Amino acid sequence: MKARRIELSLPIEAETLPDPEAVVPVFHAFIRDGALGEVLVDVARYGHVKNAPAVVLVGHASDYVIEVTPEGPRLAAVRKRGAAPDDRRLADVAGRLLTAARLVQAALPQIRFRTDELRLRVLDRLNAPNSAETYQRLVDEVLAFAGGWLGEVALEHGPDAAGPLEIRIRRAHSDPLEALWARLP
Amino acid sequence: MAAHPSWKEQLGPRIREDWSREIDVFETQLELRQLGKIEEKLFAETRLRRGAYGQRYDNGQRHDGQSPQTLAFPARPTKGPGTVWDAPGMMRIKVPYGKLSAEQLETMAELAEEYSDGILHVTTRQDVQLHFVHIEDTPDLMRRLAAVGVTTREACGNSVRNVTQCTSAGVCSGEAFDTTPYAHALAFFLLGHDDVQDMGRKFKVAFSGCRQSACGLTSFHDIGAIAATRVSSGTVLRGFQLVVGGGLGAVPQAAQLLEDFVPVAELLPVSQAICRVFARLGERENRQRARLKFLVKRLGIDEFRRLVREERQELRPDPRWTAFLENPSDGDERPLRAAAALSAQVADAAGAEFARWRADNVRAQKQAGYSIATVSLPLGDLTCHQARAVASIARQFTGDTLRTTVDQNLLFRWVSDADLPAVHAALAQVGLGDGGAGTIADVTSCPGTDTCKLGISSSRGLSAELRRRLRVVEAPAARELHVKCSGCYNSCAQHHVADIGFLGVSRVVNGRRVPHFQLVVGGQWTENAGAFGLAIGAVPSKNVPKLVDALVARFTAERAPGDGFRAWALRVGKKEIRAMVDAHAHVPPYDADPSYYADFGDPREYTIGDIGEGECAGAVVSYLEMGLAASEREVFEAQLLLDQGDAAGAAGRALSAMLQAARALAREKSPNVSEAPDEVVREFRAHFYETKLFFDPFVGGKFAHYLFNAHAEPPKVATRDAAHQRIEEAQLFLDAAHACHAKLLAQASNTAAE
Repeated sequence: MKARRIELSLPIEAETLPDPEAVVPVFHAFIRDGALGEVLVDVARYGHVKNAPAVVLVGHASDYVIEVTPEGPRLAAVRKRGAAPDDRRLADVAGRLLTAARLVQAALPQIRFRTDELRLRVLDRLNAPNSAETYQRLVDEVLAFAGGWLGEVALEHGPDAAGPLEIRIRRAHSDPLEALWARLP
Repeated sequence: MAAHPSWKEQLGPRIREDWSREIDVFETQLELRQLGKIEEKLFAETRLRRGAYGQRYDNGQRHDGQSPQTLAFPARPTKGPGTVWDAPGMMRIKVPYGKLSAEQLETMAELAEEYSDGILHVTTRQDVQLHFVHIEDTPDLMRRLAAVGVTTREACGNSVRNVTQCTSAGVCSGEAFDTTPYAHALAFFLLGHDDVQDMGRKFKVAFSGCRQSACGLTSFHDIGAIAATRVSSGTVLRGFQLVVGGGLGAVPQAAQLLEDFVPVAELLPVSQAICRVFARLGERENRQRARLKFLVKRLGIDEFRRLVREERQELRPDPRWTAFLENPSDGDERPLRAAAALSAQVADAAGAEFARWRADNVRAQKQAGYSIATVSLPLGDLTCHQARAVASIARQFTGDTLRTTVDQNLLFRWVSDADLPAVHAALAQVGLGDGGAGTIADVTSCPGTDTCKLGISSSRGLSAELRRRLRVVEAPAARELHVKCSGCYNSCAQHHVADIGFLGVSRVVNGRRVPHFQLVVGGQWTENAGAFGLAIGAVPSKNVPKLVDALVARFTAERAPGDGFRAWALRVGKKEIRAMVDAHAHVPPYDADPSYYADFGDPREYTIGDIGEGECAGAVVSYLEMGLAASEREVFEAQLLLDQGDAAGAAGRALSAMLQAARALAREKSPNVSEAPDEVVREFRAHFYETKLFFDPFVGGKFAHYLFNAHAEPPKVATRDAAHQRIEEAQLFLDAAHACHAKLLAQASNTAAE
């Protein structure tokens, strides 16, 4: 995928994360311990804003975001720079997302992730404007990657026409993170 | 995927030619800097003038609460002295007089999504800021803004910053006339003007439509322009009262009257003349004394006025001075929808949330049937999704009438009253339907330690907590109070003009750093920020909410009818308020409650290491602490003397406070130093100034000069203003002495470790 910035996210079961602030010390510890194997810079808190990226672990090449929306909380990995080759972009961001999710879950064992609906957002309107044409252009690549990784999936063009291009990747069931980790291409 | 054209290729035709060229040049400068062909200081000023600002940790160091850590950014040429190329920075986007179109807001939302962390932040100068932006993304970011008529030029650096204005201009019943065309004309006349390219420091301009309201805040600007009219031969003439040399910062100064009436045709040339005098005669070496306020003070307003008038006469005529008067393009904002009343029945049906929002956030315009509706933004933040929703509401109900406000909100103008329930419902759908705009819960905050390199305490963390707690305040007089929190003495949150203001400081308690805030009371938001408050005393951050609760409760119970907070505070007296501060000043031992030793929202043990000063716990230096406490007391006594009308006594006491702190420090190095002022200053200078031990990481020896100047030239006749300033300086000197104390502790600890 040719895009400057892509984001992949997983839903969190809402009742397992009643207060996103719980993740703040975990993200600080990630920075201190170099837990993600990349340059991490700061933790930004936006819990005072409704429907927002409530806590952001800001890195040089990637950000990790606890997002709270009316649909529930999610963990997102955003790959910003230092990108993998175009044909490895999706695998690269998926690996980073799973790494972060596993570490968050290890630090806060009460958190449970769902893996039955992933969301891919292409935050690059130059290379991937949000249009039916772009969606069609990307759908085969996403399907090939997601199918190889997650098994049978259904793709859906996100509903927000004014936002960035969004692709929902739906599955019939939710496996544990470890199962996805083991199958990661 | 097929290659797409670049943003430059795609947007080229939509961008003004001169703006396009400027951005191309900047992009080239980025490349040259990476090739080592531009000196780092020059590049730093270049990027600042393009609005690309530094951010916390951009020196590549971060304190993790235990020790400083190096952030392993790629090794590349810097983007300024001590500023790592790849470290994320802040992008400041100028929004002249706060006016935004729907398209511009949508573009900013896209930029926040693609280059930042997904949040747009509205500032106290009506700018919009994006944080965590990579320098290499800035040229395209600027192009996308330029394509919708927005420039970041001169948003930072030694330049004319964003021109601010009352957000009610043109729709306010109290204004002399709509100042919008004049603010627009001056903002774009000075943008990039040759005469403002060589100033020693930043320069701020504000417009107000009247004298009595707060909106313009002209009293703390380099130029404050207040609309006024005169009748001549039966004709009403428009003009401006111009005030100059105001500023907040560490030591606030009220602007002084330059001209009582400048006809509108003279607004641009007189402003140009002011800028030229400032550029020519303003301080250039000592950055800490380089703002216009210091020049006006040094010359005296009469001499400054004479120089400006002389300069004005020598200006080469410029058709732009008056061209805008023939065809004013702004100030003729028109509504999108017809005026229609909101019936009581429909309003009732809209529910209690709507009623609350309407009571707090909606004000009638002077044009019947229309209202201004404020969108409350907590701490000035909104998401990309929310920004797009606001733009969409504007397109549907008001057209391009959005404004950013100096209290960090957004507002719609020209909302037909009948549309208010629908506007509120649309806002509520994206989490923006809260009331509370302009109330005590609408706390203003600078970025503080969240992102600012100069931040000492977490002003945003504190403000978020205050905002949460103060929502329940119901007493009408208390709900009207303004609370503002700055993360350091630089007053970016404008704490000096709040009813209840706070500025971040740090203190060493039990051998450890503890985040504190100084309480500032006595400020006045109305009458264009008519009075500046003074610091009363510091309390640990964790106790600030309880102190605010106590102040609000007491104000509510004791105020006389008609009293605002300032009047109540003056009546009660600083001694009483200081006693309330003291009652909240206790810091428990670390083992008993370690939460005091961390800042709001940050689990790391508190440190100021991230502002460039190493530290670690060490032995308590008891005599020194006592000396600093005595100095604190004297600063406070100086305030009481000032309140009693004894300006000379107050100034003298403030000097004595500085001497007290200086002696306490000097005794650490020279135990036999006497109380004789000359000896104290000499020893302090030798051991703390010349060694730079007393230096602040950002302003160097500025605070020491407060002592040297006061000692060298005691005021012959102390005016109230001079005494007020001396007290401010003493407070800052004292805070610097506390910082120096921490350095001594660190040195002692390091020595012990060796």
